[in-house]
Amino acid sequence: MKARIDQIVRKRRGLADVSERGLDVASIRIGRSGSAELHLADPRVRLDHAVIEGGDGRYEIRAFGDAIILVDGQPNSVGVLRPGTRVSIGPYELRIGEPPEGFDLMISVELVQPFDAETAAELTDEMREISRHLPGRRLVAWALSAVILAMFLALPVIAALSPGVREATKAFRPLAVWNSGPIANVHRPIADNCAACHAKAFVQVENTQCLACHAATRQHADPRIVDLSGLRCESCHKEHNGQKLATRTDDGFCAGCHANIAGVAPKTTLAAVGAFATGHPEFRPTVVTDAAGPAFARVSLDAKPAESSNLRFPHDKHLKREGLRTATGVVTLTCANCHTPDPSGMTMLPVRMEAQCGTCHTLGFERRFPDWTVPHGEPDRVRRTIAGLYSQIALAERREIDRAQPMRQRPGDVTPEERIQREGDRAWVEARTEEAMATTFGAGGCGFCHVTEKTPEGWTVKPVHVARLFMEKARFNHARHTTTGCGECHAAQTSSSSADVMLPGIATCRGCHGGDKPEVGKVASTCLSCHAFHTHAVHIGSAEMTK
Amino acid sequence: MHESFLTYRGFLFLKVAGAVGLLALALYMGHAPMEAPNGGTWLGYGLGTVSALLIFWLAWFGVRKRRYGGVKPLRGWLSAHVYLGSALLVLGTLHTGFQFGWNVHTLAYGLMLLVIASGIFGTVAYTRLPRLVTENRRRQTLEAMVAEISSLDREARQAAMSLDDTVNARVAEASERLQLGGSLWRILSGREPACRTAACVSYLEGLASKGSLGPEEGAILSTLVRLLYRKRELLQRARLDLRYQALLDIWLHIHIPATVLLIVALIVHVVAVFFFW
Repeated sequence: MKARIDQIVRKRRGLADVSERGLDVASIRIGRSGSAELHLADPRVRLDHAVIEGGDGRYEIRAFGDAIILVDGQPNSVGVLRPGTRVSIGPYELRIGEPPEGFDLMISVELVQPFDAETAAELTDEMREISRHLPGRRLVAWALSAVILAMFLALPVIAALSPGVREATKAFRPLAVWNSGPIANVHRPIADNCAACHAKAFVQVENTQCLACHAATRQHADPRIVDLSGLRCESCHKEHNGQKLATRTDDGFCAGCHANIAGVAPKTTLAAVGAFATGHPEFRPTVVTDAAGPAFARVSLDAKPAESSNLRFPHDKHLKREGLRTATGVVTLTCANCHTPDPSGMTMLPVRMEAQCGTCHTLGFERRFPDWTVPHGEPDRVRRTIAGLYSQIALAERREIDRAQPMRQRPGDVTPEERIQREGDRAWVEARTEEAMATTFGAGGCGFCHVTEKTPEGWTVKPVHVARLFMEKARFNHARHTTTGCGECHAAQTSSSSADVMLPGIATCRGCHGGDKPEVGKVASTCLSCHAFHTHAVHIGSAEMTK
Repeated sequence: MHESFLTYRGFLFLKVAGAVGLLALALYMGHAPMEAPNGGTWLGYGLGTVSALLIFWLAWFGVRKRRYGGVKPLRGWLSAHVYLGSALLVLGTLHTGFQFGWNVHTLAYGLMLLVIASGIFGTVAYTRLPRLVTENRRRQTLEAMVAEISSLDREARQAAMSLDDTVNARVAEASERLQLGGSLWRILSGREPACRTAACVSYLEGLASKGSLGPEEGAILSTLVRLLYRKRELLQRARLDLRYQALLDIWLHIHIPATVLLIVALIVHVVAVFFFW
């Protein structure tokens, strides 16, 4: 096919510039592509838009794929080309004319809708520019910066420096925005008064602020041994970290001195103590080493201390699993039958003869009169009680005689017969009493539990001494260990002697407690879990604690 | 071979940032202050100082990248900015000791999170979107798409001339009430639920399926539908293009103002902490 193509470029004022060329090809491909025979350089034209094919005076234009062409104003995908046919391809118009001599086809091409790239670019740039939907970046930054500076810097600073402003803005609590964390519960009454602690700007809280309230607090250590005067309270007591005032309680804090206590205080009797889990020595309970004194001493459980209490009490006999035969049947005792916690839960109340032992062990002395019992206590009172019973018996016999011989004497007169009888009664009472005293204080009576002795003055019971508190240096609270059975710590079931000190060793405690950094499965326990921080009698405010 | 800022020098800054983050984490794990972990312990002060210096250095990138004339490309700087900025997330968070409240300290932390989050968004956008943009454009610029849409409009209106008034009105409406761009939300969604062109296409499809038109009119209708299919496709691509462009831009509209605010809040935070020491 031989085709002539005139490309018309319309200039201003309607002048047209025509460039002519001839083609001799099998088909004319039309498109944006540079390799197209009819190259239409406009973005609205497809790369391969359409093709003209045919021969022998019949030519057709056919659109590629779904590309669109208008043939004589009608959208179509195929069109026959005759002289006068107009084909629109995007912004171009192809007009078919009479083919000149030597040509099969005559096509004039004109861009009828020029692509205004500038306008399109302006349009799309505007669409793309998302900042027109947003407030300016600078404006946002400056405006919000001003808000932050006003609310979080200016207002708090002014409130901090001027009590007047602080009072006026009290309801807004302008300084609250500086608070780095919750105030400890004990300090909540002064929580809104920052100046109570933060007296000077850009200066760390000083001890004087603490001592304004805490002057009566006692020295944390004997100032003659340990000098704490250079320390800041705040270095150990941290605020703004929650409900509880953070206090230094780690093992290392105590062990710092106590692991080598002799180096700090050469005359000390304290043992060196490190961390609970690894460096704590075996417990040294205070036991009665000699009841006669009595003498007390701290003896390590390793040394198997024996308590000299002047009391005989075998726990094993009382805790027989099969029970005890008593007047009211078989009774199985438990620890709680005799041991009652004190109201604080810390220790056990003392065991009393009347309340605990007395339910089984009566203090009778005369088989014929089981109701007559002696009081538990002073030997003199025991003797008077016994003598009283026998005197009553003697007097009862005299009343029998009186009833047989009617009264004929003035009161107070004593006949020789009567005197003889009274002498006899007194001797009888005396003899019976002595007998009963020996029984009562003997091995089957008081001596069953106590150490008794007969002296020229009479029977005596050696005073009982038991440690009121075995661990004087520590706090052990029974109430906090109620989930643990008594037998897990106290080997009462197998203790046959009251000399046994039935305290658990430190290994038992370590079964559950693991120091300040416990291994998995153990309770964290610091030195202060069991020991009170040493406080010295001198008040903090009185020494050179103030910086 | 092209080396992206992410892979710069064999992930050098990823390694540096990872090491810094792990070191901070290890120190934090081993740190047992008497009180709860917080910004006021020695580690807290340390992490806070390093974080604050890092924030100023990262912000300096914004100034640095606006300076032209440097010989060295900024790829290394950007790589360090991205990775060390991510490490700041670890350092800053550990500095808080996980103590938060309604105060200037948590405000500074929140702004830091906002800056880091928008930065991560930007990094992801710059890594993923350019390929999607290219795919979506199919070697056609947005300008070309808009021009072709308007040319399609003209052709469609012309094609609709010989069809009945309802069809004409629909086609005219699709051209006159063409919606491209619009509100920020619209642009970011990349969709146009009330697209007249799409509505017109469904209407014409319905009309064609009825088959009530004669052969000539039917042929015109099918061409018209093809014209509008093309227009609808171009519109979808143009909207997607706008969406991608918006996503590539929007994070900076947060990243930069939030950085300014972070620096302000950071300074206030430091002043407040030492004012009431």
